[in-house]
This record gives sequence, structure tokens and C-alpha cells, in this order.
Amino acid sequence: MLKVASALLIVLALSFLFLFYGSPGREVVLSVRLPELLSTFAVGSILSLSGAVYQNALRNPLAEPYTLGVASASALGAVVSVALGFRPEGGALLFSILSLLLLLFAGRVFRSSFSILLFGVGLNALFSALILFAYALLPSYTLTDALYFTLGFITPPSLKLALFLCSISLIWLFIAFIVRRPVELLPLGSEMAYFSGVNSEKATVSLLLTFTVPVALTVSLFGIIGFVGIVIPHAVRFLGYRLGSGFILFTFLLGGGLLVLSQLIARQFLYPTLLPAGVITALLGAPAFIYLLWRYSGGRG
Amino acid sequence: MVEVRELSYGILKGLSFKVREGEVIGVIGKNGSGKSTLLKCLGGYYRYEGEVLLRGRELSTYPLRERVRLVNYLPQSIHLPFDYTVRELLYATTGVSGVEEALKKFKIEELSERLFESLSGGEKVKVLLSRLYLLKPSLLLLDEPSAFLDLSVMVELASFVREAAERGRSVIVVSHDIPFLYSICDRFLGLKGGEPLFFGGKEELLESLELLFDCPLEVKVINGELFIKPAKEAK
Repeated sequence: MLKVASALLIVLALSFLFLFYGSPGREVVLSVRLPELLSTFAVGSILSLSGAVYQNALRNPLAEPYTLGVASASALGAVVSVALGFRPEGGALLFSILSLLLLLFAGRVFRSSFSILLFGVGLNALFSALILFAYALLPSYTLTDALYFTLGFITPPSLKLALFLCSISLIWLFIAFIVRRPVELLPLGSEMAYFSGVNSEKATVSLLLTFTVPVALTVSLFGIIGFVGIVIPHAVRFLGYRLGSGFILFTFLLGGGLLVLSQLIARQFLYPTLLPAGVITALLGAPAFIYLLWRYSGGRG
Repeated sequence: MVEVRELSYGILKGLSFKVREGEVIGVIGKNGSGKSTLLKCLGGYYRYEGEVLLRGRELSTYPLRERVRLVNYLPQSIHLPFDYTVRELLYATTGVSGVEEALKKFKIEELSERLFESLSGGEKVKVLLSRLYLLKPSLLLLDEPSAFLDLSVMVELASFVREAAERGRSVIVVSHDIPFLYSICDRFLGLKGGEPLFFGGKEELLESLELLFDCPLEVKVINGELFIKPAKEAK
């Protein structure tokens, strides 16, 4: 209970700072900062929950939509969609699902979760290059736009969109509560999951598909934000919440919190420079990524 | 009662046998003879051909959650990519309370907050045995339970198996430790290349051992205990 309270307190303090930093006028707080805060928190919590599901389902501590190239596939899909005159969300969803299916197929070929990760890293590089390529070809965009899009630039949205994103994140929080048992059992491997009552093949595919959908949505809106999905679930495990509701709830709260902090640094602390939030999450997350790689590749003694 | 009819999967070809309630069956055979495969079929993990009837009903027709309450399994080894403590592992994989009591049963209550991956091989087996103790399935499948155990724990393993049998559960144990199986099992299934060579009591086991392993053996039973070693080549 104490830890839940402190997590909530941290999130509230960050939110307060986010809303009132630099004492802006009432108008700015309500029409700019509040929608920005809500959508940033929602996006962070979605990325974090999806990261947790990816890690557990693929039994890989470094898996998340970003490292596996699913996020960059979404981004590519969004760009292609827009170039063809459609809304970005449809293309983002389609491409992310296709890349996920490709990953799962590769999983059947390679069988080791480490090879799947490397395959995903390869896909990520390919899709990122294709995004830059597409931006270079499109007359109405510049490469700077492409850079901002691939690094996750959260611009203040309308209140309506912010509330929509919040409801999406709450719906997926609810889904995560419902599927917490398969989520906690899949890391034990398919035999142990089976003998604990979970069909791991079905659960893996349906969990990954389900938690790719909101990621595709956030990517189509704000671009690719990496590392939240890796770092937060591990931080939550480190705090002692490794199972069930505790794991889900803290992953949600701290994921939102981390992105709010990153956005605060990216857009307000460094003002008038406006950085993509993904730059800050990468600055915070990449060292953690390397630590995790070291720890889980036998360095933990 | 468990009734297996014409079971085939992978190397296994047309196995049929019955296991009564309260009976302990030892499965013996060379490496790759299909022992572990058989256990995973009997747990419904592999989609076999043929029939496995549990309480008169085909195993695969039970919904999964119900199936794993009826039959459960001790794997040779498991590897966790993330940290779970012993308590968390037991809670997640059984969903029942009473973890403390189960750990006490195997005298490992001090391990409850330790990380599973940090345990020794023998401790891991004890944790997985306490999992089965918590689940109380009517058919227990043990895959090489004695492989990592030191002698002091073998006694506990043996009493766990006999106790389960006395409560009317059926137990099927795969092991390379034939003297151990000899001391705890009622009947024995010898597998050779996926086919049954024999299914019977201690007499039949002793008669068929050489044929099962294709090598001359020195086999002695002293005071009801079995001693086996490869025989020296006759000069």
C-alpha cells in the first residue's frame, strides 16, 4: 500500500510540475498543458504495458515493440498511409500487425528468443531506413519531420484527443488485469504454462496482437518512443511487483510517469529548444538497456 | 484409473497399458526411447494419436484448467528469464494458497523468498515437488525427479511418491535410476525405440533389463534392494 501511495504521489507531483512549470496562464494550463499531460501519460502507460506483455510473452527481457521493429513498422505504415491519402492509423495498425506476424514466423524458424530479438533489431533498422526514404520522396515533408517522427515528438493535442487516449489506456489497463494470469505464466515456458492451465501458443499470439493495437495508435499520432516499454517493467519487478495486479498497476503508473517526466524535460526544462520526448527516454533508457543486457546475459554471477 | 490405448506420437508407436489408482509405474529405457515424450503425451501437452482415458473420459476432452487439475507434471528442468521468488512461482503456477505448508513438507520453508533461478538443482526439484503437493492431481507425472537430488532428499522423494499412491493417486516416474524405481514402483514399463518391451512387476523387470539396454548386466537383489552394474566381458 505504501508503495502504491508513493507511486501515485510521484505521478501527481510530476503532473503538478508539468501543468504549472514556469507559471503559465490559466488558459495555457487548461487548453495546452492539460491535454498534453493526459495524452503523454496515456501514451507512456500504453507503451509500458505493451512492453511488459512483449517481454513476458516472448520470454525476453529486452523485448518491446520498439526493439523488435513493430513500432517502426507502425511508423512506416503511417507514412505510407498518409502518402497514399489515407489517415495514418490504418496503415500503422496494418504494418505493425504484419511485422508482428513476421516476427512470430521467425520465432518458429529460429526458436531462440535471442535470435528473435536480433531479427527484430534487423527489421527495426530496415523500417527506419524506409521511413527516411519515404520522407525524402514526399514533397511536402522534410527530413527534419522524419527525424522528429522517428524519435517520438509529442505535440499538445486537443482535449478531445487527449481524453480519447486516456480511455484507450484505461481500456488496455483493464484488459491487462483480465489477462494477468497468462502474462505471469508465459515466462515460465510453454510446458510449465500448459501445466498451469494456459495454452501458451494461443496466449502468446493473442496477447501480442492485442497489445500491439494501442502501440500502433500512439505511433501514428506521435511517432516512435522507445525504451519506456523495456525499462519500466524491469523497474516494477525490481520494486518487488512481479505478479498479477501489482505488476500491471505499477507498470501502468510508472510508464505514464516516466513519459511525463521525459516530456517535461524535453519541452519545458530546455525551453526554447523543443526536443522529441523519445530523445529523453532514450537517454534514460539506453544505459538501463545495456545494464539489462549485461545482467541477463550471464553477468549477474 | 488411467487407460492408454494405441498411443502414438513421434517415436512412440501404439502404446497400450492401464494404470490403477494408487499404483506407481516406473518407465525405463535408453536415452531417446520416448520416456519423456510419453509423459508429455499423458499430460496432454502433445497432441497424440490414440486414446488416454482418465476416469473413463478422453483426456483431451477435459477443458485445460480441469485437465491440469487431474494430471500434472514435474519437468526435468525449467529456466525462468525473469526473477520469480519461490513463493511467487508456486502461487502463479498453482493459484492455490497453502504454499507455506507445502514448503514445510519438503523442509524448504526458508527458500520461500529466494529467487527460483538462484536455487541449486536439488532445491528446484523440491520446489517443483511442493507444487505437485499443492495441486494434488490424481495422476502425477515425474520426469527424472531424482536426477539432481542428494541422498538425503531421495528418501523424501520416495515417501512423497508412496504417500501419493496411498491416497489413491497414480504416479508415473521416468528415471535412469533403476534401483530407485525398483524400490518405489509397483510395475514397470520398459520402452525400446518407442515401443513397449515389457509391462509388468519386478520379476519381469529383472528378466528384461539386458534386452532393454542391449548390454550384459550384473543384477543382484539383496534384502529387497536392487544392485546393477554392467557386467565385465566374459574372457
